[in-house]
Order: sequence, then structure tokens, then C-alpha cells
Amino acid sequence: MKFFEVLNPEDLDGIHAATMEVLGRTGMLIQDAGARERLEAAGCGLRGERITFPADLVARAIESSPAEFSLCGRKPEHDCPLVPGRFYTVSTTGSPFVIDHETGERRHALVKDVADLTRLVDALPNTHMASPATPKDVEPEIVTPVRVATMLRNTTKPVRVAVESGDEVRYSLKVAAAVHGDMEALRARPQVQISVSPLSPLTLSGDSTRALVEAASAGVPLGVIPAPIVGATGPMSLAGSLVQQNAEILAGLVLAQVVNPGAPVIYEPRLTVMDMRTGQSIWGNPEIALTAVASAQMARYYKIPGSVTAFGSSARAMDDQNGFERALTLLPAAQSGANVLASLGAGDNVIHTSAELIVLDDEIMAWVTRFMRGIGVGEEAFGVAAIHEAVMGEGSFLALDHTRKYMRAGEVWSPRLSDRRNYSDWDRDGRPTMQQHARARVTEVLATHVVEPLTDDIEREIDEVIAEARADLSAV
Amino acid sequence: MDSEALLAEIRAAVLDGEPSLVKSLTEKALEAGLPALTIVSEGLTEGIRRVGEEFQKGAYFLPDLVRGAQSMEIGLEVLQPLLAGAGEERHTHARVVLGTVHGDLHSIGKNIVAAMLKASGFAVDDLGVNVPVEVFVDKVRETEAGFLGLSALLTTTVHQQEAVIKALEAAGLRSKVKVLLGGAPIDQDWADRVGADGFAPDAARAVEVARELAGVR
Repeated sequence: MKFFEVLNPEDLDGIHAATMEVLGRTGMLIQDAGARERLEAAGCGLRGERITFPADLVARAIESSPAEFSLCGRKPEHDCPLVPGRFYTVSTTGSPFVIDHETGERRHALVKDVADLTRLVDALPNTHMASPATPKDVEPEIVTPVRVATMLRNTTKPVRVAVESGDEVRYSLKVAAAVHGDMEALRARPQVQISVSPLSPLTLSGDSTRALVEAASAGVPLGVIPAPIVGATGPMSLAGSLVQQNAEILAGLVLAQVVNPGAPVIYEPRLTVMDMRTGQSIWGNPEIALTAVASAQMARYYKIPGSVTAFGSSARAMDDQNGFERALTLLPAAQSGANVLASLGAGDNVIHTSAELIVLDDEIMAWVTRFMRGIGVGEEAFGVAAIHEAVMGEGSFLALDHTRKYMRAGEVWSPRLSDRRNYSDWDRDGRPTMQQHARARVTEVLATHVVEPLTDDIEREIDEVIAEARADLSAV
Repeated sequence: MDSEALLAEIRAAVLDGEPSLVKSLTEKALEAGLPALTIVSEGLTEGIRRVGEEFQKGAYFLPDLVRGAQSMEIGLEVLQPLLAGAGEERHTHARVVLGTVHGDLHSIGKNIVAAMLKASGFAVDDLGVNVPVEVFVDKVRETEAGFLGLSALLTTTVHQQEAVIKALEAAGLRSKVKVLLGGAPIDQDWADRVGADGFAPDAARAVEVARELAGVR
């Protein structure tokens, strides 16, 4: 199937050229002296704390960024090779709130939610990577190592975490290294992806810079994840915000390649638009889908893996708005050729996540996965013999070998949650909604799904790393 | 041009959000002999009040509001030395000290709140981002502000809001200032827990809360 595109090849050249102008003239504010020195030594210009990037250095950095690499599971069966044409989903990261599965009410996320939602991701067939909410019941200084530990205990799939400081990266990777044996083993089969966010417009804070350097030095997959808000922290023109986020990503990519040539980098923008009445940053709008597709094109242009917003919605309830916003964002994103489809399970502009939303998105993703498989053709698929056999025989296709063969091969998709029974059965059951079906599935999975446990030794080692992080970082 | 026509032009320039035009018109009005306080109250303040009105009606959006506030401020800058010299002060509902807490560099939400408060008749001291606890406390003491707005976007920095409130208590200032919290991870529950006076989920609501607490209308 061809990738869906919204920009022409010359438009991509235009965005790249404009980006080089921004990086060469305006430059990036990088609030870490060590990183500035390294960039200067590599050929960057320096004006105060602003770093400018020569085009040839950027080109070399793009060249040394690997085009393909894998996000790995605890075991190879859950590996996600980021190669052209393959795509995976990752649950949303950083939501401060969850919708409580029992009460249906919004509340602050807790460590237990990170555990439950990760276990859910582990069980679901179309959700390939876990990313955590931000729990409130743990000291902020160690929230990220704790989230990584909680996720690695509750899934054998790859996990991803957005970080705020170099300390967080160091201890998070130490936790992961405990699971895999040592740092070398983790590097060989990275189960943890680190995401670092430049602050739009064109700033890398000291903490974020140190986080980026730490992750790049470790050689684990690094996502550079700017989140400009169109018209507020990025230009109001979509093309302008695409240029700016591109500059922010390339600046991060150059720093990563200067620190560790060949470090695996993911093109991971999260552009949003602003509601100009309330100031809210909006994740479910036509421009989110458009720029997700354009971002996937830019990643492909540079031959590095891309990750885009794919499950955007502003809805608070699991209602019609929620359904159409996420579906209309996901399908073009999936068709864009992005390797990672992100923000699965996010609601209310990523302010909350919930078990029900994760289950719903897994279902929508099943639909989209079928769509992406396209239409198989060939002599048998054209069905000339089957048509002849049916028409000359019983007049129907139901009993044909051809029918059973294609049915079993999944030619026609079957939903797990959608209710397609006859009216009277549905009515008799109390007219259940999609939310109720999703809820029932959550209850079932959480009651039955068991994640392959870590050994006692590894568990102990993780506890020790967390204790060490607490002693080192925690204010109290 | 007569005085009334000049004031009308200043109002229109604020309403259109044209800072450089407001600046030159303000200077022109001074040259024409208009009292500074009159230019403030019948020109700039009236202009920004109309900006707020247009926003309430849904005809104006946040960029219009921010430009309106900028236009008013540039006029005020011209007039401020004269007002201070004459011992006069423009009328505002209350003074608000505002900033993003230490460890957090996110400014956009706070900037929108600042613009909306200005457009609604509050005087605003914006301390910027990554503001240490003691800078908030010192500014509240120095300005005798009635309100303190604390913004935090990162879940890891919201605890700074609590630290500022504790520091205000320690400094004996807590009862003199109303503390308002904002930011994506903030809710009423958190505001109650850390002992804030109010919380606002967006900028428009921040203004409503400030007006209620200030007893305006």
C-alpha cells in the first residue's frame, strides 16, 4: 500500500531549506555549558547561549543517525523493528490524571495505575509498547525510575518514558540494565526508549539537554519530542510550525550524534493547535492529522524512524466526539508511514488516560491494521473459478473452499468490542454502549492476565536501584 | 485635533491592538496638554475594556487580547513617570504577582493569564518562568499584591506551588495575599490540599476567579 502524503517532494525540500535558515540564523537556546562547548567544537556557532548550526554539520548528523533499529521486548517475540512500512502503537505518556476504572471518576494517577495500565498493554494484541501516566504518590525526583521499574515489572513489551533530567535517565537505565543483566545487554536489546522534549520555541533547558546527552551516550533509542502549540509556541501557519519543530528535532539529533555518532534517534514531534478562546492545547483537530502525516514524511525524508500523534481527542467522555476525533486522527497517521503511532489511550488532550480508552484504541487499531493490509490480488483472489463454481452450483458462496480459506486468513475483519447483534438481543441486555463493552473487557483482562514475572534477584536489584535513586535525588 | 477625538483614536488603537500607534497617539495627547490620568482612564483603560468586551462576545480571540494588552501597556509606559510624579495612580481592581514555579520553563499559559488579567483591569507583575520560592515571596512583600498566581505544567514541579504557600506562611504574608494555582496537572483537589485560595483550569476562568475573590461586580 502506498503511503498517504500531504506534502509534495518540493515542499519537503522547502521545509528543510527553511529549517536550515532557522538553525543557521535564529539557532537554539541550549542551557547547558558542557553541551554548548561540545557543539561549538563540532563546528556550531555560539551567540550567548544560542547555538547556530551549519548545514554541513546537520547533514553529517542526519547521515550518521541510523535509518533502522529495534525497540526490543524482554523476549524477541515483542520486538518492534522500526523499518519502512512497519508500524506500532504506544500508549500515551505523562497524563497526570486517570479515569478510575471502578468509579468512572477522574483522579490523580497513582503507581498502581501505571502497573494496571501497563499490564493491560501487555495483554492487548494491537498495542505494542507501553508508556506511563505520571503518578502522584511518589516523590517527583524519582517518579521516572519508579515508572520505568513499574512498567518493566508489568510487561515484556518495549517501554517508553519522557524524561525531564539527566538523573532520571541514569537511574531509569540502571533499572532497565538490572532487568537485562547489564548496560551492554540493554544496549544490545533496548527495552527502554527515552524521550526528551525541547521547549518550543527553540529551547533545550539545562535538564533536558543533560537528559538528551545521557540517553545518547548510553546508546538507547532516543526520541526528540518537541510540542509546539500552533500560534502560541510555534508559528500560526502549519508549515511554519513544521519548520520550527523540525529545527528543534534536528538540533537534538545533532547533539546526540556529536555525543555518540550512530546513536539511534526517533523523529517524534507532538505538534498541537491552540483553542484561541481558552488557550487549551488541542490534540483532536484536522491539523493534528495533517501535521502528523507531514511529520512522517519529514522523518522519511531524513531516513530516520518517525513517531507521530495518532489517537488525539479533546473529549472527556467516551462519546461520539471521542470516537470520531480519534478515528479521524488515527487512520491518516497510520497511512503516513510513521513507524510509531502514539498517544494510544489518551483523552482530554492527553490530560487523562484510562483503561477503557486503551482497550477502545486497541480495537480501533485492529480495524486500522486490517485496513492497512489492503486488498490482496492474484488469480485466486480475483475469484474467477469461485464465481463460476458458485453460480453454476448452489448459487451462493457460503459452502465454497475458497470462502473458508479466505475467511480463516482474515480477509474480513471481526471486531472484539463492537456490538453487532440483532436489536432485540441488544435491547434485552440493557442496551450496552461501547464504553460498557470496553469496561467489561478491562475487568476481564485485569482479572486474568498474568505477566511473566521477573526473577527474585532482579526484583531485589530493582528495589536497590530505586532506593539508591531515592537517597541520591529525593529532597526529603 | 481636539482632545475627545484624540482619546477616541487611542481607544480605537488599543481596540485594534496597534502598540506603535498607541505610543505615538499617547505622546501626541500629552503634547496637546491632556492630563496623564485622563489619557489612562478615558483612552487606554476604556480601550482595553472594549477589547475584553469583544472577547466576551466571541468576536475577539486570544491573539487580539494579547495585542490589546500590549498596546495598553506601551501607552502606560509613556505615562507612568508622569503619574508617579504627580502622585497619581491608575485605578485597577487589584495587583497580581504572577510566575511559573521553579524548575518549570513553560510560559505560555501564564502569559495568556497575564494578558487576560490586564485586559480585565488588574495590574500584573509577571516574574517570568523558573521563579524561585523566595522571589515570589519578596515580590508579594514589596508590591503588597492582593493576588499571587502560580503556574506549573510539569507534574514534577507542582510541589513548588506548595513550597511557595508554606514560605508565605513563614514570612507572615499568607493572610494578605490570595493564592491562585494554574497548570494542566492542577485541579481543585490539589488546590485544597496545598491550601490555595483558588484554582483555574483555563485563563478565562482565572479572571473570573480573580474577579470573584477581588469582589469585582
